[in-house]
Amino acid sequence: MTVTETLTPNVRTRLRRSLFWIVCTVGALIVALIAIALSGGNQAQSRPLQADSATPTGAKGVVTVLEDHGVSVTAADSATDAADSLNGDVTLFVYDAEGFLETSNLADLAAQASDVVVLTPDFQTLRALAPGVLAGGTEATDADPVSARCDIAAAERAETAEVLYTYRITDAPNATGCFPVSDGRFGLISLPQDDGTLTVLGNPGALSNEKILHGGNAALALSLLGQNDELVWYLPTIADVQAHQPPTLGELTPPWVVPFTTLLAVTALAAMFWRGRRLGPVVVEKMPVHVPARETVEGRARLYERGNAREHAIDALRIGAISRIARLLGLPAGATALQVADAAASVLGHDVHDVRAALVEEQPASDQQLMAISSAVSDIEKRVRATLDETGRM
Amino acid sequence: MAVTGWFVALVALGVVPVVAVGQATGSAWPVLAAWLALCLVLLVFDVVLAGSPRRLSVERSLPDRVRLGESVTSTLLITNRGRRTVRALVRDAWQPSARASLPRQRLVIPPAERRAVSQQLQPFRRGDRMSAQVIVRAFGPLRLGARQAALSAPGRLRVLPPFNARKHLPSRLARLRELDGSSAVMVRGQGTEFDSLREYVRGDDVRSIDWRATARRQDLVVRTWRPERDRRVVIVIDTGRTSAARIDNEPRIDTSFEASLLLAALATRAGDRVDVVAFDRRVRGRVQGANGPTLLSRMVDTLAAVDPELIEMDWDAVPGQVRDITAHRALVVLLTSIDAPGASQGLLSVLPQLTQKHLVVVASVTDPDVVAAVSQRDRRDDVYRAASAERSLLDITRVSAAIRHQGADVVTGAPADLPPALSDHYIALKAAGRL
Repeated sequence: MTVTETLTPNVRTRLRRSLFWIVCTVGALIVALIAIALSGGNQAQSRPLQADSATPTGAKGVVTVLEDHGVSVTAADSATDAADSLNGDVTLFVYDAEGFLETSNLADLAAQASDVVVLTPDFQTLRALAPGVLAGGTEATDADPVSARCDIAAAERAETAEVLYTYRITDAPNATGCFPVSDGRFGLISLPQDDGTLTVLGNPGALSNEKILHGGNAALALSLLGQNDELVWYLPTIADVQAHQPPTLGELTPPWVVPFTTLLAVTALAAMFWRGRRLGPVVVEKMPVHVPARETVEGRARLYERGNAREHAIDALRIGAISRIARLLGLPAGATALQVADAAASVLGHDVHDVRAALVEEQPASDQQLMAISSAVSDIEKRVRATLDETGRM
Repeated sequence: MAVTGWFVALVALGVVPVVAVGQATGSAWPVLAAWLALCLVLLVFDVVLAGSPRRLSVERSLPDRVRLGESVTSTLLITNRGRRTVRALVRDAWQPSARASLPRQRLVIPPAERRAVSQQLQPFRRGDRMSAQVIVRAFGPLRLGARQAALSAPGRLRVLPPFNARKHLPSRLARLRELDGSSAVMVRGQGTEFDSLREYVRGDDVRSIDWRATARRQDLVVRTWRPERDRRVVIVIDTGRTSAARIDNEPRIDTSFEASLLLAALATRAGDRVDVVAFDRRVRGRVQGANGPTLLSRMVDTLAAVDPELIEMDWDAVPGQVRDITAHRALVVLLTSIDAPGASQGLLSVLPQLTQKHLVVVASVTDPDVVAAVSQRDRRDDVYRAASAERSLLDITRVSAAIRHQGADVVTGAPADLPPALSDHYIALKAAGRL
């Protein structure tokens, strides 16, 4: 006798059967990796006004033109990087779109730089850098360009500019506002500092690749940012925040907690595999059909009930009872219902009218009457049965 | 491939070094990685060292047939043809309705040895119960992992109809013997065959005294009669949709089987030839030309695998089926259901063709619940139910009357009563010489 045939495929057969899918998966992975390597990686990291980004929101245009004119541009991602590059006559450009930067940090940086250009500063930044300047609200995005109307060289050269965020001068006597919108709100404010100027600019779009060529944007950008030979292009990142946060949950917990939970997860996986692995396939079985026979009777009863078919119901009950009584009394098959009722009345000694009413004449107008007639009918049948003995004689 | 609870416990045990070393050194990741690697190595080691379930050979020893309600012993003989001991968890994959007592059993088979796995099967459903395969999970020496394979070991157990009605057989056979001439009781009537002459004993019918023989023998001599023999009985079992109805916790088709088995047992003892056909739109089972003891065994064997089909019975084909079985006059028993006049139209339309040539008996199960519902009238919905039940009884009465009008007999009864009632009717027909 030989070894019994095994139905479970071995590893080699299983591999061969699933070869197609393995090849497909590997191919798809390779294609995805190539796609990410070629393009996806760069695009994913592009931020607004990034110095080396050629996307519409990037600022590669301005930076390249500045470099062509002999300004060396240093891109900085964190406060420490920016501080390292701030030596000598340097312009500091700061755009903190996400609000990562601490105001004290920014004040330190601004003190080190000779000229500072702050793009759309928020309330706290303004308080730290230019206490006399307040935010003045926004203009419509499709508003007409505004002319300079001030004696700042950069603004005069630009002549007109689009304005988005505006600023007001409240308590800064030497501040100059340019591109006035209305009642003392300006698109650009210049504040002379110790050894340079602090410029607050209210339109982030003006420097982007997409809009740099609109109106006087290019002239304004180049004049503001090209004041010195060096420019630090500082876009704060998440790295600027962490240094000042309170200790995280991870730092507070013991070092073994995450490995411990990982081990628990692995244990859970192993337990799932342990309990989930079936001892062979599920056995199927064809089941015979079984129909409960009473359903038709039950269904018809509910139909009578819902349709208030009292006359149908009592008819059925009466016909059944009358035919049984007729058989008990030995009446011929052709006997009418009234004849049977009369015969039953005479056997029982009841009033003929009562028996006739119960067995034939009375019509139920309500369920109560139906029940009364039904019990009267079954009562008559029972009495007839009781009156006769088994042989059918009285 | 499978893992055991021990492997899960081993992985979970890694909590101790992870916490202890992590607390001491401040870095638990290397410990975790090392522990998981250790577990994995042990698992692979264990699985590789486990005896191969693919090197087993399985033999099955099992009786062919069992009557429903009885139990059989199923034995698997498993021989290890590999070089390592197999510590196995064995599952014999019987269908659920075979009701295997021990579906999973553990055993150890050393190399080149054989072990038996026995279990009781007590099937609770008629028909063929199958087990296609035996699944073996062989554990490694450390009990951490196991190799698993399904081995082909087809097994089939035919579960026969229970034939509970056989308890009625002795009394009916006694009645049959009373009919026979050997008994002192005489039966007169047209169609009974002359058997022999014997001396008069008190109690014999004086009308059966043969005066000519009495004159010759100088003693009172009576003629004895015996019922006709070698008549044909054709049983047609309706397996259409109405036979699926479950009455009193027994499907109609099972009651039909019981009634036909009792009738066949009785008729074959009485010397008649019995043929059975189970039919709806095509023949589901047919027993023809069997006699004596083989008849019942062939009947239960054939009927075991017949289940109700959810299709309408094709009554037009029934006369043809009967004609295929016999060209002579026969007792044709139609085991079907009698309900609403509409549903019985097919039966009524072919009855004249059958009654013209044959003696036809229509047997049907009545629902005792419906009969009981008629006299249950305490509440409002009870009254409506009683009316509905009464209406269905009236329908049955009307259809029965129509069948009798066509010249056929009707036998009805509750599931437990129908088989003896049908047999009694057969005996009555035989006694009356109507066969």
